[in-house]
Amino acid sequence: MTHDEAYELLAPLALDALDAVTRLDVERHVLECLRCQGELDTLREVASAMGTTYRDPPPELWEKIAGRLYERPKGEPSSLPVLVPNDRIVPIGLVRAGRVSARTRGYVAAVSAAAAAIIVALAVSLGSAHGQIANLQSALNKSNENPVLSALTTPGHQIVTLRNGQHHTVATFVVLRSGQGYLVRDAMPALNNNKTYQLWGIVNGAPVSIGVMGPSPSQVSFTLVSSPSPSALAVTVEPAGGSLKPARSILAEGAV
Amino acid sequence: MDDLSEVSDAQLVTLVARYSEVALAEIYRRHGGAVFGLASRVLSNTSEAEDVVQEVFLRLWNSPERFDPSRGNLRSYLLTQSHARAVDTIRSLNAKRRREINDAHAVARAGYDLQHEAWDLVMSEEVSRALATLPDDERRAIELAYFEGHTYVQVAAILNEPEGTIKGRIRNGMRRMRGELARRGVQGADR
Repeated sequence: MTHDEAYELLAPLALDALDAVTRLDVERHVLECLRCQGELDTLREVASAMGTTYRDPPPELWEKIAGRLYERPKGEPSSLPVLVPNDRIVPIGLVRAGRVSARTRGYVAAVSAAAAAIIVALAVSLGSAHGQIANLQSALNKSNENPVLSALTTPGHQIVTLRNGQHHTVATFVVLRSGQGYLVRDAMPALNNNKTYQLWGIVNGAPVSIGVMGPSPSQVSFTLVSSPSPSALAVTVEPAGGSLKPARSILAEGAV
Repeated sequence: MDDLSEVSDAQLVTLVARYSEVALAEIYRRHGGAVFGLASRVLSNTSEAEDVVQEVFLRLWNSPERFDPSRGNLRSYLLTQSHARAVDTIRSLNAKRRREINDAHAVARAGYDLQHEAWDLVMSEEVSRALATLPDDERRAIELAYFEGHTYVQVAAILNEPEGTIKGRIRNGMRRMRGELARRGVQGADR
């Protein structure tokens, strides 16, 4: 399609008055033509002005929208990495910067699927996440060196304190330069088994899941391997199994 | 940030990109009625219009980066989305349902002419006046295309005119509208 042919069809395009095939042809040209882009933008403003009418939406419509904000798209995994001492689990990196697009969602799903496979392997040897944590706690107690204490005495370590909206400390983590991190202590009350605490890294302003911590976190370890590194850590309460996006507002947050 | 009433639309979209439900709710409060109004006008069916509104706002939530403030204001973006989805719905409907929509349009137009109550916003009133200044043949072509979801080729068939003539009427009518709106000081709804 030539420029002149496309230019003539910009007004019908702005009114959505082209058939699908012609529309694609014109849009393909517009993508590469700044002059047509500018003209189309102006025509769409005119069309939108013509279409400005007002009607009160039904009161329940917003609730319908709000109820669908965190719908899990088909094919997305239902389980997320469980955070345990890192000698037991491959670290889950922060796999994206910014919002999850349809394209990156596939990548997230692939990474999470790999993590799910690891979790299955862990389950065989250790049982449920609850069991894992109990066993690991026991293992840690028996070990000669507590990794948390070790981290706290490692040069360059950073303390990350997560506070809630009332500025109360909810959890404290220690993060090493290598990206290795541990939960030092927390004030997170035990949840019902149908919920879990989930740890997020804030990357470019968007939360990226690091992993789920279970309903009653005790020993938690993780490794941050993303670039750029998260600017903050955050905790939310999610349905058991975790969420790809926070289903609830952030419980506590702290700068890294 | 609790009070978002003074925050610009563009800033709200930035907050939506950070998963702020409150920001999305504020956008809905500002523009939900317009989005619903346009979808209702095109579809003449409340249930289908609600579906369109849900799609538009969920799309903004899931892909806020698609809104480019350098290419227009948020109201325009949302209405463009609303209109495109409403037209898609119309074109996927069977002939019987289309006839119902067209009949409803005829009633709505008559109601507007008699009662002067279809356009609630001040800007909308200016826009309707601007539309009324267009030559009848240009206005009719635009109305059939924009408000009834016909392609310009279908409009040509309905009006029994050559396609090139209708294409020209739409183009000229839109340009005339642009000038008329500018003359009346009608600008975007962005803050």
